[in-house]
Amino acid sequence: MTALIETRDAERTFRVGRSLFQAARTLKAVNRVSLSVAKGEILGLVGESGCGKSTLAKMLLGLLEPTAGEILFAGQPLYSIPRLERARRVQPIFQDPYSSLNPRQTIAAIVSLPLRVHGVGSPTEQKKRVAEILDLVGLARRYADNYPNQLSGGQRQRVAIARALVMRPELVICDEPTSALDVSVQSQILNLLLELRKELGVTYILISHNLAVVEHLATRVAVMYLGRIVEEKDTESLFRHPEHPYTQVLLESVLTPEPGLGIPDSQLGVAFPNPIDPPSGCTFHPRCRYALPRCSTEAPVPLRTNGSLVECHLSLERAAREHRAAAAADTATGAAPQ
Amino acid sequence: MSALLEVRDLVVDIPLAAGMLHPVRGVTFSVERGETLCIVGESGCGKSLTALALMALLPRRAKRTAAKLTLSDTDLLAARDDELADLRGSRMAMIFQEPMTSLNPAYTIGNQLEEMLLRHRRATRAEARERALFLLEKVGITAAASRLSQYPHQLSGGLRQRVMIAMALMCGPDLMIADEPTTALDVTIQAQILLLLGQLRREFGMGLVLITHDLGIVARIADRVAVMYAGQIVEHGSAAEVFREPRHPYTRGLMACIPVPGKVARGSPLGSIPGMVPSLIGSMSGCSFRSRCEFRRDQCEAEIALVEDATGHATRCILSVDEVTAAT
Repeated sequence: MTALIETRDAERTFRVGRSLFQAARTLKAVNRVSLSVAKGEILGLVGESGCGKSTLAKMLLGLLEPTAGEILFAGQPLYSIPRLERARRVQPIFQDPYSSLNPRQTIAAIVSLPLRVHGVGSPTEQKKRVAEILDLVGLARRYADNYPNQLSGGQRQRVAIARALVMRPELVICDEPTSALDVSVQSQILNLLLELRKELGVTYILISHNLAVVEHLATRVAVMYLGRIVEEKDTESLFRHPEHPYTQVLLESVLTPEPGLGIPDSQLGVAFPNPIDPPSGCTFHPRCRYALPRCSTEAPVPLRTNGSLVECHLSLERAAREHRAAAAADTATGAAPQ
Repeated sequence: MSALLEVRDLVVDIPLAAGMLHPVRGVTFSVERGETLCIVGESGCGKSLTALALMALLPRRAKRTAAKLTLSDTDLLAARDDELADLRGSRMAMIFQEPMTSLNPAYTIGNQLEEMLLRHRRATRAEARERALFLLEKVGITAAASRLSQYPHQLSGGLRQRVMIAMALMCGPDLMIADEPTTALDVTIQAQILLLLGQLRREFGMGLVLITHDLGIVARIADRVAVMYAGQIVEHGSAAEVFREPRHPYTRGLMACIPVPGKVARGSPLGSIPGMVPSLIGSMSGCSFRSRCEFRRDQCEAEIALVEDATGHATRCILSVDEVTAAT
């Protein structure tokens, strides 16, 4: 299956901190990320604030060109696709439905804007499309002439979803789509996203710090730390066998509603490192409970095994050991047929 | 011995142009020393205003009444404004959700921490500094001495929230009220802050009132839980009991809404609560949840009392325990 969107060593650096007394320094927000999302998948992107997930989202949306590497959309360089076409095929849903909707426009005007921009259909047809999409996202048609401030948070997020989907995009990037919502509303929006995927066959990239939400929705999960993807796997195995120490800590920190378990002690230390001045070697080593001497000097190379990725010296060493053991077993049995 | 904090029939009314808003409608609970009470509910349920009412920090036009409101032997209802100002920060302290807006950006961390002791205790600057250093280390801030001269903007969100906790502890309060203390933070930092709050509560023997919308936090940290809906407590009991057997349809609905790894099959629809929170403006009657409740009956139109069973598990619902459990 070909990838719908693919990044190849995509990198984004920013020049920051230039002042009278200081030369500008380079911040690598996204550091040589190679990622591929197949059609119909839901890729969950998790990590702490400042890890670069929102920068990566902007790059995938076509809003921020990579400073190095490339991004391919359906096999074509994303940034060679004309801006309008890009906007038709990739759409965002943002966290805060209070600030992502224009307060001076009616719901109908907000949802039909993409249709008008792309010049799709006559005003009557546009009206019909808006009504259809409002039905689809579960918002009563009578709201069409209302303004965003007359709607609740959950309803506004439905409007944002309707606007994103009205052009039937192939990829929707959801940046914390439910973080601003109450739990009972969150579940409605998550259910809606799942339904729409079935209905329209859209592919999602879901950015969230809520791992329970990611576990519920995503088919694959990528864990980001300081601009790198440190682990990527299908959801099932990531949650069952987290390999990277950082993934393990993240999963341990999830507070499931099970009384009596207490608060987990991740022993992570407070400090999220300064991305301008990242630690040497493996960038996670100052906070890692298993750090080896070599972790502070040598950056681990990504280890890819049947569709999963992990970037950690421990995994590399384990793989090397297993490889040696397998080789030894082979020589012991001679060239015995399998 | 009486409870550390006793609240009986707390009511907050706020006059608005559209009519009288009733965000808190007769809330009763108590907190013992060394105990953690979690008040849980969705936005607009009145949990934050309950906290502000306890601290007497409500907006000026809001009206607060209660049958009883005491902090050990001090009657908070009868206290004058200056007496309340002496109590706040000294015997009862509060931590807010967004640490950036509750720290003064124009003063150093040290300055703001020391001020607590200088204001409430007859301490010298040197004593105050010593206490500030001690507490910054206690809340897990490294290089505490150098932090004292830093300004809030120089700290990360997690560090700022730790500073807020240290500040709340400066005078060794009996009661700490934390309103969504970790909502703005990453999961890893959240776990650390909650762990810290739990440790400090034990160590200092404080009563802790933690306000949150996150049932995961409640399950892990609470001794007792009060679930609020539309300004009332609809369910109240020990955390173990409430999670083992949630009885109010709203509590059950809330629990069905959250995805729990391993419990809800991936990709299958989550539970949801249809409808919306009723308006709290003007006069109201009957069960406030009935418009969204699948078990709704005629009796729900009448006022429903919070009824407590022998184990201290209380519910504001006409359904019997058996009826509720049979339904699921």
